[in-house]
Amino acid sequence: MSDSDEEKTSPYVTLISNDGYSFQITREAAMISGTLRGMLNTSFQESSTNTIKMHELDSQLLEKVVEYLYYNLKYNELVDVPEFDIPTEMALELLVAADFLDV
Amino acid sequence: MLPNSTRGRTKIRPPRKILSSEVDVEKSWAVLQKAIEEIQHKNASKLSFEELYRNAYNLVLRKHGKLLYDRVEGQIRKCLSEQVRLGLLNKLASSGIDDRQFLQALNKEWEDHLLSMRMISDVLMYLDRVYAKESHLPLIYDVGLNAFRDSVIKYNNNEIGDKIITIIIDYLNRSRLGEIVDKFIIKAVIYMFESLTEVVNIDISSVSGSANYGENYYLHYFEPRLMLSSHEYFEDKSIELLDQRSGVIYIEKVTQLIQDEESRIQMYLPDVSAPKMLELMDNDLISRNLESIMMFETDGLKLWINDDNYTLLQLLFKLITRVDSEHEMLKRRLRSIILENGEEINQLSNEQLEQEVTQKKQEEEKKRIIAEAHGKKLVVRHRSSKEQATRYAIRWIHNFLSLKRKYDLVAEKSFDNNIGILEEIDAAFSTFFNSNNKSAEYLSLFIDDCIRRSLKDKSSDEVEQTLNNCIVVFRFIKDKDVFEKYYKNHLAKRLLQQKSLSSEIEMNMITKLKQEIGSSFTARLEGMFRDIKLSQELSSDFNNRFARQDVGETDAGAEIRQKNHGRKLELDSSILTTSFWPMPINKSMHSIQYPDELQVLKDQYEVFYDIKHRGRNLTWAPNFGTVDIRIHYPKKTYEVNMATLAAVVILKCFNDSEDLRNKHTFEEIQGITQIPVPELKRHLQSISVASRSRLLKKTPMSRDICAGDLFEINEHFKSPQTRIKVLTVASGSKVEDDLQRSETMEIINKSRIMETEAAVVRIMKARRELKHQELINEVIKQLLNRFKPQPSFIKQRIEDLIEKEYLKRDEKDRSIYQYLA
Amino acid sequence: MAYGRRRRQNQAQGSEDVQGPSSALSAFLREQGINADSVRLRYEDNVRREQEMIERQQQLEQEQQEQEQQGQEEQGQSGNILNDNLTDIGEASGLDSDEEVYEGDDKNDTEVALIKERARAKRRRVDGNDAAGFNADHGVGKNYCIECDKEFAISVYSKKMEKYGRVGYLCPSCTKIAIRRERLAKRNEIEARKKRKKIAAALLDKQAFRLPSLQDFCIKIITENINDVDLLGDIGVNNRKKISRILAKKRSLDSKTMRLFLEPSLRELEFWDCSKIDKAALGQIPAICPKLESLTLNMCGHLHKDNMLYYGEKLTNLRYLDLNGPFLINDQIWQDFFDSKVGKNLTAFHLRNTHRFTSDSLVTLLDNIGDQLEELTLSRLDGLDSKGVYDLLPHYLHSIKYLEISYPHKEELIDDDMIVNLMANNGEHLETLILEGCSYLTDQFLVSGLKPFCPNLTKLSLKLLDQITDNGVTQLFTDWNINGGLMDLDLTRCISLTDNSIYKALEHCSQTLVQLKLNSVKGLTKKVFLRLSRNIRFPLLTSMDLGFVRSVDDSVLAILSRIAPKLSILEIYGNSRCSDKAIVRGDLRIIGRETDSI
Repeated sequence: MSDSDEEKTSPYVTLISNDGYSFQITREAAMISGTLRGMLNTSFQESSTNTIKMHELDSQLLEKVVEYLYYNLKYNELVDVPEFDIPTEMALELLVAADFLDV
Repeated sequence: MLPNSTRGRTKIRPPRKILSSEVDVEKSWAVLQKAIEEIQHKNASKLSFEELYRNAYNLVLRKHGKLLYDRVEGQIRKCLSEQVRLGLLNKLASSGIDDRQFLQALNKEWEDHLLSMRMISDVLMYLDRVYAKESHLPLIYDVGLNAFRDSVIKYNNNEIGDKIITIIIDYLNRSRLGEIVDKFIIKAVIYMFESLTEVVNIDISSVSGSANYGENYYLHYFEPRLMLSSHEYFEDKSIELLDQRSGVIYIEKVTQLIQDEESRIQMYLPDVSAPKMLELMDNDLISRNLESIMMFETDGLKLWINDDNYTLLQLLFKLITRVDSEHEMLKRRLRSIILENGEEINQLSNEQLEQEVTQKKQEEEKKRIIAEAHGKKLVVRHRSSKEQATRYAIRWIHNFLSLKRKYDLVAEKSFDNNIGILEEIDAAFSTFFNSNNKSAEYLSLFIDDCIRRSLKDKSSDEVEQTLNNCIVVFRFIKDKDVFEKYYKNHLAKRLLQQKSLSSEIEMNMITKLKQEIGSSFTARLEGMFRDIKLSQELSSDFNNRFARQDVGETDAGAEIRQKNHGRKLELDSSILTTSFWPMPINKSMHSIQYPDELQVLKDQYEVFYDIKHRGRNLTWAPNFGTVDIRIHYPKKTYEVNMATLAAVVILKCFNDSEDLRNKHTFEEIQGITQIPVPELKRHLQSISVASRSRLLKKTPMSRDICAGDLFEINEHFKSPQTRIKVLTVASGSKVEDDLQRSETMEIINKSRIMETEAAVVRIMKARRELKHQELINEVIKQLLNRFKPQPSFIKQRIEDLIEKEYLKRDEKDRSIYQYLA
Repeated sequence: MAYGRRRRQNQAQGSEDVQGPSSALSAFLREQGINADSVRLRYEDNVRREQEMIERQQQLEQEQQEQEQQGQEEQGQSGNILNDNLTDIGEASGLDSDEEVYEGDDKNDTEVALIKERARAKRRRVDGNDAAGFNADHGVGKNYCIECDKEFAISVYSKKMEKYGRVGYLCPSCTKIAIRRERLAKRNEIEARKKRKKIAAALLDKQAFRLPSLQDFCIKIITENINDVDLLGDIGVNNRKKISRILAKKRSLDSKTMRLFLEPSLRELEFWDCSKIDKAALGQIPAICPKLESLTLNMCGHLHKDNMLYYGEKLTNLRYLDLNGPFLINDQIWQDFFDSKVGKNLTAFHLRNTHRFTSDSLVTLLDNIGDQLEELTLSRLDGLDSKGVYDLLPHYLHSIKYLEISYPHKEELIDDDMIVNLMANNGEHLETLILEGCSYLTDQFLVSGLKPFCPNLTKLSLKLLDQITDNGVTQLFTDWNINGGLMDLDLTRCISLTDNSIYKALEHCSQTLVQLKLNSVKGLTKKVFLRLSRNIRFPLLTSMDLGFVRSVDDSVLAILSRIAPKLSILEIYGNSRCSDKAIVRGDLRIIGRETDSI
């Protein structure tokens, strides 16, 4: 459970793409993804290492996902928001990634 | 769109096939199965969420959702049934483990299960999101809860569940006996029961993933047992309390019991059960028994009211409020008690009266002894039975008022001034008040007594209070016209005899009546009042003009004086408008032969009045007046006040100074004066029989006046005072005897007939045409302030009016009346 | 720049004011934007403008703070000159509100801020509302702050305010605080207003407003560029469905794009708008997806008889067929299809909107699969005009769970006797019964058909049955012990119903009801809701339509919010007594309030 190990909770988590790139993002941003939230909130391996290896995502997709997480973090409470920009050719791949991550 | 139009544009890349394009179902499942086992053994920290999620994700993506879902469920059930359940059964079988430890073990298993289910369902998030939701199946977490229900609690014919329920109910019963039990474990287990849903024959997963809906194990299995055991407990408890045959104990104990049980319910039981438990408890402890408890003779509602036990009554009220916001049973009891109290008032008033009489007798007896000791003879005056009855009436109203006040206090202090109860109390009072057909007269007598005597020297506040009380009683009177009749009689006597303490009080009372019921009711009373006032002015005017002795004496005045042997002669007249006053015009008084002295006054006054008010008819009513005369007895001269008719006798027959020893027989007197026989008898009695005012001597000296009796001046008349008042028999206001009553009722009945007919005509004149029932309703509405007419009575009046051709029936519809102009 | 923009704004504003009598209506309509696109555009425009204003305000606030120190010094030197000249400008351009003034670069802002204050000071003087101690001749004087009682030199920046019934000025520091507070309040209010508007917009789609998910964004891009997609790939069943539905909605599902959704392993296929899919494309479905078990084709006017026969031959796994508008298929083809091996396999057949499905077609259908059908829809089929054939239904349909017979060619075709007969024979397993628009039906089928024979019924639609009365509905729901309760009840426009029967119905279904429609049941009064609030809770009710039930007001909304804890959508179009003042749960979306208009 998330609050049982409060003291060792780092404010950052690391996401690693399948081509080896690491992205360090705030825990708050990661929590926007239902899947990541599940990984970090239950007492699995990932919650103690704060590192998640994303076997399904390459760095290009992961970067876009991270961008969205921050976008969501920033605008979630607001009403008047700019469009989130997605390169057209990436849309299908990103859709799968988003589906995987539940964002 | 043509295919070549897209040339040159970037295509959207399809997602790459991940690793192996075909998933190895068995391999993926093996990973997940292993992981589920690990989670259930709390070894999750070594597992990679991502790996498990990915495996589940791929299985679902490749449409193996159903397979995964079914296998997960099987895996969970297997673990629960083979490990958890058997473990618990072992604990139950082992002797070293008590109930509490068992519950704790159970709760531990439950919590562990929830935890692992949470983790499993997290890992299988994608299965939930895509497969379960699409297929309208319960989410994995709920699958886990259901598995716990089926594979642990309800397995083998609810084996473990039954045991748990028995333990918890036992705990609750022990807590009722005052034992302190582990409330946390009870709460925890009940919470678990609530979390276990029962299969309802509907598709619930489409509604929401939450488990808190509809039927659950708690409601289905636990609650019925709880209700049953609680019912037994309440029943035992109430029987135990009833055995003590004490209402006070029952009410106090039950109040306490309910309080305890409420806090117990709040502490252990979920909100859904609270209302059911409360209802059960209220029913078992209150609804079933309380009415019979109120009826306990030795220790019941009547006694508590009698003792002004406000605290207990309040407890009672609160208990009843719990079961019935209308308080029907309390109202029923109050009603019958008030009616009993009404009976008691009759008795009480009698007793008080007797007591009073005995006391008086004793006092007078003492006085007599003392007087005799001094050698004097004291004539003891006994009250007539009529006077007794009057005292009784006053007492009765008095007691009625204090009883009412008692209930008002109870309602205020114990019943929250609940409107329904107040209405019921009033209704009950009204019933017994009106069941006494003399009550209206009693009230009028009571008021009469107040205004004549008992309000003397009272502060204005006390006066106000008393009058207000009268109004309180007045409200209960159903037939106000009866009261009006009596009130008018009594008021007339007070006014004519000037017996009111003050006209202010009189007016105050009338004003209050007016406020209460409207001016039409008091118009005649006010008219009477006005008459008296005008009469006083007239009299003083008359006397100023004609009774003046010195300068400016008129011829007429001189004539009067001359008739009166040179002395001043005054007349106080009361001019009464016939329609206001209750006294009938007595034609038999018409022929009375007045002595010259009076005759001249009468003549002069008639002239005087005719000047003032031309064309009005004066009819003299000597039977209500008094005359002051001075009588010279050989030894002493007395000033005597007596009734006009008595004075007529004296002046007409015995004022011949030349023949002092004149004797007249009864017949002679009657012939001379022309006073009607019954009246004459009455007045002769007062001046020849009554001991203090024996102005005449009667032969023979018997009490009753008979034909042939002989009367002469009583030369030996002797009185300590110079001024004497001859009391006429039957002055003052007294209760009517039955004969008078039936006469009164007849008069009232006649006026009712008139009023009803008037109402019918009034309504029909306005409406022209009306159905029978509507007309009846309208009439009742109009007359309600006066009395409550029976429909049959009204119907009779309508028939009469048809006969008199005020109305006719419609030719087509016989139930419609038409007004004939 | 700055002035130019201002002019434009002023113009725009001016045009709102000018309304020539001849063109009042058209100007009004144009102004109000009575068409969906312009509403959106205007709305977005507003939002943008408001955003700009806020930004400008924020800017200004900073500058003003900087200004405050300088301002007082400057004043003595150049202030007076500026004062006279610029005040006139300010007033001439009708500068009244704070927002319009602050535009352009920093320098300009400074000046304008000054102008504004001067203008304000001048107005104050004109009004004669001088506070005690304020010296009209100088414009600058000693004063005591009304907030902190500190002595200070009053300046044009000093804020006037009322406190404890006194009017006075604030010292510079208090002024700063007060201004900041005001700005914050204003911004919050603007933000709240915008949020309300967005929420109102979302409400029209029965949605709560929320930030789009990444999947939403992706699907939007994909559907916008669907012609650039050659292959969808493994994107999951849900996403496939979503994209297909959105394409249908955008009317860009065509012969080419539909192919994206075809793949060999598919068991279920639905196209909600086939109007642009041609015969050839439809013909590919069995070729590519031979395993199909369920096929839904909406608006399938292109569905050719060849397609139908081909389906009848190839889709050997097909069990569920839902067709809407297949008017090219004639009676002979229907008969052939039902005689085919595929046709004989069906357990669910839904058909709407074609006049070519005739009595003979139905007879063939019943002969072939009448006894195995679990689901059947016959809606708006004007070719079905024989009562005798409808009367055959009770003799088949022994497995029926879902039955819809709606909007028959003539209302007399569906009568009480037929439905009663049908229920008596086949009501045992029936879960869904939809009889919309069969307005020949009366209370009798409720009392003699549904009540005794439908233990498992969970969904019932009696929409538009204007002959059913309180009597029948009350009888049906009073002690309907064999039935465990309905989940979905539609009584839209059952205009004879009133409080009593509705109460009985809701009492019976309270524990199970999920969706409830009482649209236009005009006889309902507040009493029924008050009565419900005393005794009944609806633990599962999520969606409710009370449109045009005029007695519904704020208090009713509050009651429903309380007694139905899961209620999330409540439609109340046309109920003018409902306002935004109703006290309801935050997660209950109320749709159709007049006050929610955008």
